[in-house]
Amino acid sequence: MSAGMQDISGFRFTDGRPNLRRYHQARWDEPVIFELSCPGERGVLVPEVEDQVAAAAGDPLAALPPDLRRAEPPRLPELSQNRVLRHYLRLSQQNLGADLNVDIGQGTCTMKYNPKINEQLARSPRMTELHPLQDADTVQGILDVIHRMEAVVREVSGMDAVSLQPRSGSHAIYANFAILRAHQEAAGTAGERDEVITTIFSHPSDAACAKLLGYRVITLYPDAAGYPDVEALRAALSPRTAALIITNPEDTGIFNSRIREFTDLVHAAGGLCIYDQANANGLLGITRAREAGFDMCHFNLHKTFGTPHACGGPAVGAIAVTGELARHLPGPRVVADGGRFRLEAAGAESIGKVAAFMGTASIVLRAYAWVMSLGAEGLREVAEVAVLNNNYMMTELVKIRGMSLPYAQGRRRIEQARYSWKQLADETGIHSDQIGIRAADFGVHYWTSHHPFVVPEPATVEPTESYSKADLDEFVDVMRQVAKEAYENPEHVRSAPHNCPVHAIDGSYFDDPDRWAITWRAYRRKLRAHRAGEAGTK
Amino acid sequence: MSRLRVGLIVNPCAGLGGAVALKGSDGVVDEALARGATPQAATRAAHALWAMRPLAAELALITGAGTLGDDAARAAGLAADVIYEGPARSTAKDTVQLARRLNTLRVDLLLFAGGDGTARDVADGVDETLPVLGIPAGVKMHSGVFATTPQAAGLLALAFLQSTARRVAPQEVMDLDEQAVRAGHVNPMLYGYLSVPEDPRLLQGRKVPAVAGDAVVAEAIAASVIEEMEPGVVYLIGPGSTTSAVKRALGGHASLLGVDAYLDRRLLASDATAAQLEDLVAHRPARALVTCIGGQGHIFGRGNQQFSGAVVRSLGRAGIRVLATPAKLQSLRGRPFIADLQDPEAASAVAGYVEVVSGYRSRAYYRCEAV
Repeated sequence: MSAGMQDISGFRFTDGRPNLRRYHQARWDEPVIFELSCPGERGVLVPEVEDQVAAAAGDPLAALPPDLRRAEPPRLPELSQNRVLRHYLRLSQQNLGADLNVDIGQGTCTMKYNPKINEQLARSPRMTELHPLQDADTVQGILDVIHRMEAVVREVSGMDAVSLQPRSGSHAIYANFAILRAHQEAAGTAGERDEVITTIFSHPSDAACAKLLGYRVITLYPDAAGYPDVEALRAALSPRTAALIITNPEDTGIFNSRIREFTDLVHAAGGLCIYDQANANGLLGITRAREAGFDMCHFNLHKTFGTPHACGGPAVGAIAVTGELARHLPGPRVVADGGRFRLEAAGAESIGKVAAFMGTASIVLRAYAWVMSLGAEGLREVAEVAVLNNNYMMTELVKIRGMSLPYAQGRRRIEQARYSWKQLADETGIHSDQIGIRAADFGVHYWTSHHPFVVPEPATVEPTESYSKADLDEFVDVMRQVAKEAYENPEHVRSAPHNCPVHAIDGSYFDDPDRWAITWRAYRRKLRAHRAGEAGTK
Repeated sequence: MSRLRVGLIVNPCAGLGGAVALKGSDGVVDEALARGATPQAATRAAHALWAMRPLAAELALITGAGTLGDDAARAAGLAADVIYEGPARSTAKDTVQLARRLNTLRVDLLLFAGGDGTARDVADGVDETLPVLGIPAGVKMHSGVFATTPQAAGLLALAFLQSTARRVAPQEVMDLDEQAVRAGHVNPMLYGYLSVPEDPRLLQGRKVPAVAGDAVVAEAIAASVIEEMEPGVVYLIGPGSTTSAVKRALGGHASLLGVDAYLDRRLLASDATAAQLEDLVAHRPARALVTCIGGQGHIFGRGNQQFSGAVVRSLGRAGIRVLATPAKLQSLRGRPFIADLQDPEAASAVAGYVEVVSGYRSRAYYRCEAV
């Protein structure tokens, strides 16, 4: 047999189109890091304190009140550096990371690409070596960036004043409700106006934060066409209305073009209007909260302004308000003063601090860098491309057997769309979440929707502006393939994932406060209680 | 590991009357067979069992002989313990008897294949805590105890048996008087409640896990309603899974299927008639607390005919609160509430947006149409 040379070009294509990826996740069977602990093992050996230093410093614990001191040291895992590194690298290989997959199946999350140069900026010592307790005169650069980013958010929203202090989207919603309450206290309506109106397709945090601040919540369900029901709003408005909080476009991607009618009705009834603009990716430079009649809004910088989602943070939820409400914003505020910047403490009517210091300054820097690399025209182009991508995908996805796009028939969506696999589920017994698990075998993320499932068998897809047509086609191909399998070999979908290390998870743990645990300590405590309970029943 | 004990009841006559236009199968089995109907229930039960095969090794199926369940089990390739021998052609009595025995055995789950009539018979035989799930095989399936398809029933049963939480929620057993339907009258009755496994897909998404099942939400609704009760106002609380949470919380000898009146959080009248209600609303400020029938949306005229046109006219829309969990509202798929009052004046009084209590200090306004 002659030593031939294979032509490997085109191996991964069929008729010029890339094949579906044959993705296979690593499996390390890695223990929890606490179980890897080896007593006495150290990652960093801290030098012994010199006698003179110890004598000068005295007992560092003496300043701590006795009841704040631990009786025993925290039971942290004891590991060397290389074992820590291996542990987390292995875990990362069992993950479908944001930079690893076509991350457009997680609609509402706005999983756009986060340019790495912005990471480098944020990780440069000029940022990381800053300390929030430094004198303002020595941190003029980051104060300038915060001041400039506030101006960007003012321009994008049309609002008069901005705070970048809240550390997440829900935190920003909470801060806006705190401002609402402060406004009501100042106006003397705090007791009488205690109802907040929202819609079922707005983010669940909108209702949850209102509740946290003691408001009663009224939820509007969609009308037959899928729009928030304006007649239901009329029925809900009363002298007890404190505010409307609403998303637009809603999670369905449907834009409510009567939004001004909504805000006018609420204002006429004496309430304020809060715009949940966490995701304004389809609106940048096109519509603004101000013109739609809102008094407050917020943006998640990790959705709309290109910063990483990380692992539930750190993040920034930027809040923007009208001039009338500016006095209630959290403090301190960055103030420009003759070419210099200084921090002005929170005033008497401010809601006070909602985060330590200035919030997450390094995220503000990333967002500012992202905005400046695009410019005003570029921001508008972001929105245009995100909407174009979504509407292209929509026309392709609805061709798939078993998939449909409920509500607002014949109308386009903005930057995302909520589809329904109801027909497929009825015909094959395969449900939307099972489609998502099978999709992971092809290396893509997928998400259904918030609860409750108002759209049956939902799937929410949001391509953002970051992905190319080839990426969009790849995602559509995965959906088409899984739907085909559901019809031809449903067991193969039902028994997925086949290429991922973690298989069926018992979801009932999520629903049971006695068994869920988000820390190792909580897990051990609940396990002990659970075992004691089991022993008790035997 | 202990085996999973699943009871199975097949009503071999279920569904016979549908295709031959008899609007049900109660008392017309011979006529249906004569008109050429073929029994479907066993096949549909087998479809459900087929979907449960991943658990076959751990499954202990308990059923009746032949057409009562054993045939369906064999068709699905599963061995079953036969604990009941019925006559060659079984009747409703056999369903009740078998249900009673399975109830005594406290099976992990009772599956039955049939329609509303079968659901009634099962409800006669079991107590309201035994988990029961209906495999749709009847002509009329107004009850909330049925899965959407036989396969969906099997998969839901599978999920329920594998789950460590095993969450159930009370669902209505509804039935029509078939003779009346054949004569052109629709008069559906709320017959009782069965504990049905909750389909987690209706309740939660992955991003934000739902802490509470529907039963917990019903308790939250009850807490909110009771907190807001005004002194001196009579509350007329109708039947329903959500409203009964209020009755339970208030205590007293309330009726599950009747309308009970409360004043200052104390039971004033149990299982009141339309005449009693008319008398109550004539003399005191009053409010009605009703629920909607899941999937269909009736707030009046289904199982609560005690709320007569006269009572509803007197209450007006402002005097009516619908208690419904978000999952129940969602099950209507955007369709409005229906007030079936057969009274044009009462209908126009209630049509429009009615107030819904959907959680603790949570409300909605939902459109209601009158028929």
